[in-house]
Amino acid sequence: MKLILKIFLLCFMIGVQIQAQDEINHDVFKYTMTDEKKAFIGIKSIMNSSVSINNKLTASQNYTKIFLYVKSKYEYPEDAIISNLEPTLLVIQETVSDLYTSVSMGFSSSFDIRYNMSFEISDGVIRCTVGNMLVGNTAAVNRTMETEWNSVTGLYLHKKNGKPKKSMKGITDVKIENHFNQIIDTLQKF
Amino acid sequence: MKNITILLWLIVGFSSQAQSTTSYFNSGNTTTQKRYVGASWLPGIIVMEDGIELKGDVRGYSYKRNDIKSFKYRTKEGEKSQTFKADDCKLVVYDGLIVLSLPKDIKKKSGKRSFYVTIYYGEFLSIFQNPKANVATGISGSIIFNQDQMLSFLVLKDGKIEKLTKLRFRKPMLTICSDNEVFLARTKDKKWFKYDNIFKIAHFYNQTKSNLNH
Repeated sequence: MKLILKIFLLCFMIGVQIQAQDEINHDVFKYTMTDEKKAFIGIKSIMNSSVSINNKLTASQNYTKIFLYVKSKYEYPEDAIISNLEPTLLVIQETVSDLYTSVSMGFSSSFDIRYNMSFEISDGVIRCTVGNMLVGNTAAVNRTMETEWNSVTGLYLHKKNGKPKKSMKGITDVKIENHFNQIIDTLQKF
Repeated sequence: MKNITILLWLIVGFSSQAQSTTSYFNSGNTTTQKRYVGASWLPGIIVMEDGIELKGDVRGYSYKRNDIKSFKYRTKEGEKSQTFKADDCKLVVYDGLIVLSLPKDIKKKSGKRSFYVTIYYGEFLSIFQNPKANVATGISGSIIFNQDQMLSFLVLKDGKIEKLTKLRFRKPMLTICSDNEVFLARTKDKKWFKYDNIFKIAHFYNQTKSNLNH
């Protein structure tokens, strides 16, 4: 009986540990190569979804800081805010023009990116998480001039043999990383 | 044995996710084009009556004219599917659409329920697709800029449903949202306060109303 109990406890602990691994703290947003390979497309790279900002402010002060940051970007911050639980959570949705760029045969094509950014706020910590990233396929603009939005779960920056794709590596990833890291920098200095 | 049972319940408790439908509130960045609940399998979610989230493949199953009557759900391709009617669940996510299960007679809080295709879902005000709405269509060869646009929507606020049409939008919207000073101030901007922005307008109302309440 004790052995069964021990096995159950072990399985449970392993489960908890796997969940905890997802919560490693990062300082910056950065794309890293995964093991996922797709024929013709290449090897998938994914960006860490969250970055934590540590400071000495209270949750309430951190909330005000983020709200003022959003207000500095939008005349009506309510347009961008999706969820607002003062002082613990603020979720915004933003659309950034031409953030997704790829170069092919010397021609560069750019598409808009829409994403949700949630700020989980507590005393001394702001956890910024990027989610639901979509790319606006302007080539598929429909008859009402609306852009079609498709989910982006990662970027295929490398060929199947591991060599970087000249059309994307150092272009698409860097542009997206810089955009999100800029937000973190601004929030740190704000 | 008793200890094992307790442990099992603990494990089940940590692994299943009970959800309130408020986490599905969306933004106003949505088109006014007609949206369809299709019959092809797509990744989706069904939130059951008890709040348990079922994640997997979802598709529309039975229809009555333009109304969706039931959904099919399966965990993955090849698995046996289950059928869910409006009385079984609270909310369905299909192809980015939120489909709410609400009483057929919205004024009554209980009774038989129906599915409402919710294009914009918010805390105080939500906008449903009107199954009887006309859709803008052009004559062959002519240029039309609002092709496939729904010409009316249904607005749910305070347990009442009101119809808003493209031709009669500003006045009824002002009446519905008259309890929010911040919102009323922005409606003076006529370039913003127009039918084509209906979801952005609803989102601004909800967000500012929420700020007033907290």
